Amino acid sequence: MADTDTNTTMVADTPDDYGREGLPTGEHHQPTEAEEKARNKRNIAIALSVVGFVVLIYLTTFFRLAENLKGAAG
Amino acid sequence: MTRTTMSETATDQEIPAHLTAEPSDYAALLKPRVMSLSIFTALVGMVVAPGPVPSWGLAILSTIAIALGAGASAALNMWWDSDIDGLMARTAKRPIPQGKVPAAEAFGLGIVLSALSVWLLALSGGYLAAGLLAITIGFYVVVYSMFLKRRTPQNIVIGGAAGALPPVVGYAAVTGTVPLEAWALFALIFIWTPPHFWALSLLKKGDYEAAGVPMLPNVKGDAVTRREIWRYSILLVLTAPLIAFFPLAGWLYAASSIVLGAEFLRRAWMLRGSEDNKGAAGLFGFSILYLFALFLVLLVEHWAGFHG
Repeated sequence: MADTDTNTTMVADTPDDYGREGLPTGEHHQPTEAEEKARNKRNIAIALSVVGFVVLIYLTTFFRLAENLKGAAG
Repeated sequence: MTRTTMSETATDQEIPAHLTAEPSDYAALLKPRVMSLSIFTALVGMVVAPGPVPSWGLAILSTIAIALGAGASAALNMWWDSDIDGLMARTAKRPIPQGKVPAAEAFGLGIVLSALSVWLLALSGGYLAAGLLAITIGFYVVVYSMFLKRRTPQNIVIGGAAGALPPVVGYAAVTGTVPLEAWALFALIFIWTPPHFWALSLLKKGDYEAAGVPMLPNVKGDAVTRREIWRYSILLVLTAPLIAFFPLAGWLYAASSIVLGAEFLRRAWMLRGSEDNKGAAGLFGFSILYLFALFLVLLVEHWAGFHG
């Protein structure tokens, strides 16, 4: 655990303590090749989903507009 | 989370499953097989509604919205049940118990998909359909998953309402109304659900016992369950042909419902008389075929012009 001196300043002893106190720990996570590959696939899937949803909204607007025009003409 | 110091490499440590999760793991949260049944019944609800489908473009977009809504409720169900899914062999391979998808991510995906699906359906199928879809998702997640599933053996009887709503949502999406004939389709699936799931629960009661889910065989015993399956089967077989009195169905549907109903009853009767639940797997499989076939006949009738 972090020590507390008389001025209540947090002093971390271990990397875990630094993490708890919100201090930089010097740790980092180096993704493996498998992780990076999976992350790329997830990123592509998210991008495609967002684009797909935009297309769905675009098509909905298009068909709704066409319906309204047909109704107005008929 | 795998953490390493500068001097370590991640390859020295075991990689947590969620760091290598594939998009397919997230897709599995949406229960694609259950989703396909919702899509199919919703599509039939659209097609059997009176008059031609006003816009096939909007109908297809509405179907996609309903599919997304079904997927959203499945993801939220998996989030809520993530503590018991790992205890049951049937669900242990789902992405959350496998550690591939964190439960919080399933919750996030479910909430976002719920909002987007309802919004999309409001634009493509109108507010009534969107409201019904929101009720379907809310009923499945809150009423069934959170309140009924772990409290009462009647869980799937009442909770079946969520699975029965997609054709009503489909009907509403193309007509903007939900008359009695739309609710007749609801009734068909609603009454079909108990014998379907109780046949499964006879086969998987060990799973439910381990997870503490009070399914009928675990609470009342196999004999009572077989008797209830028989009773609901009679109700189902009597109800299904009644739909033919509405304009949405015709003689082909009436004949099919009688023939398929007779086979349903035969299987339920055989199961009722068996001491070892022999026939439960057969009835479960046939029940899927039964519902699929009846909805398919409705679809064919409309395309062939036999209905009404």
